[in-house]
Amino acid sequence: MRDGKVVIVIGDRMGKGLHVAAGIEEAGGIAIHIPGLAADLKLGDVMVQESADLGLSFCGSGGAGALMAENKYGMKSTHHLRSIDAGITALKKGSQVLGFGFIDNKELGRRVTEELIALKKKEQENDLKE
Amino acid sequence: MEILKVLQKKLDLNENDLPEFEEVLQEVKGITEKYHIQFSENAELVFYAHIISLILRLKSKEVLNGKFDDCQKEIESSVISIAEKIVTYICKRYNSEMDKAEVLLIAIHIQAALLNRE
Repeated sequence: MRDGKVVIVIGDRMGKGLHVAAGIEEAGGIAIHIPGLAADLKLGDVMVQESADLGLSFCGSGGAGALMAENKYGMKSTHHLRSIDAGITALKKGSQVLGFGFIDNKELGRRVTEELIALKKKEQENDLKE
Repeated sequence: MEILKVLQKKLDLNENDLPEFEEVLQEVKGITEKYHIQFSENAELVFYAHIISLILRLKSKEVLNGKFDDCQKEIESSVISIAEKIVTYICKRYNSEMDKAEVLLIAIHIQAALLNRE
């Protein structure tokens, strides 16, 4: 979290993902878009640098960036996701990195951010109760 | 191949498919070695995970979303040529047409490996 906002990093094999970033910002999150080719392979590194709450990886298989982050940093990841709903389910199950096929739209960014904010809020409420 | 055992767990691969995957990965490994492509441990894992995903996509006739023509100019032609050899081999094996986007995706893995070595 930064300034009370969730931080989400986007790494797309082809350097895309700007629509996802726009959706994240619209929903009240901070989007960090990694530019350039093979950006998905740098996802874990940038997540650590930025102390991010979540990473979104996009490539043909939906696996590389998530697998790399999992293997290098032990981040809990779910890969080969093919829909936003599947991503939301993985997020609810505690994944820190979501690996999708190529999807670059605002809806994905918005819905994932809304869900992440809701999960963080729930976590804070539980912390207060304890 | 040791890496295939790791990928079996991570990608939840069916035991019965492993001999087929191993054969393809060995062939691809031969091509990369011929052109002195060296992957780091993590990069090697995701490269071969990508190859297996490509095989699964071809088998299920899944087509990639999006157009990536604008990305081609950022990749060295020699790297594209190596990626074409890999995709040609795999597509031939699975009776599929070569998709330019698949070539680019593999080329990016190779280019990243070359850049990291420099």
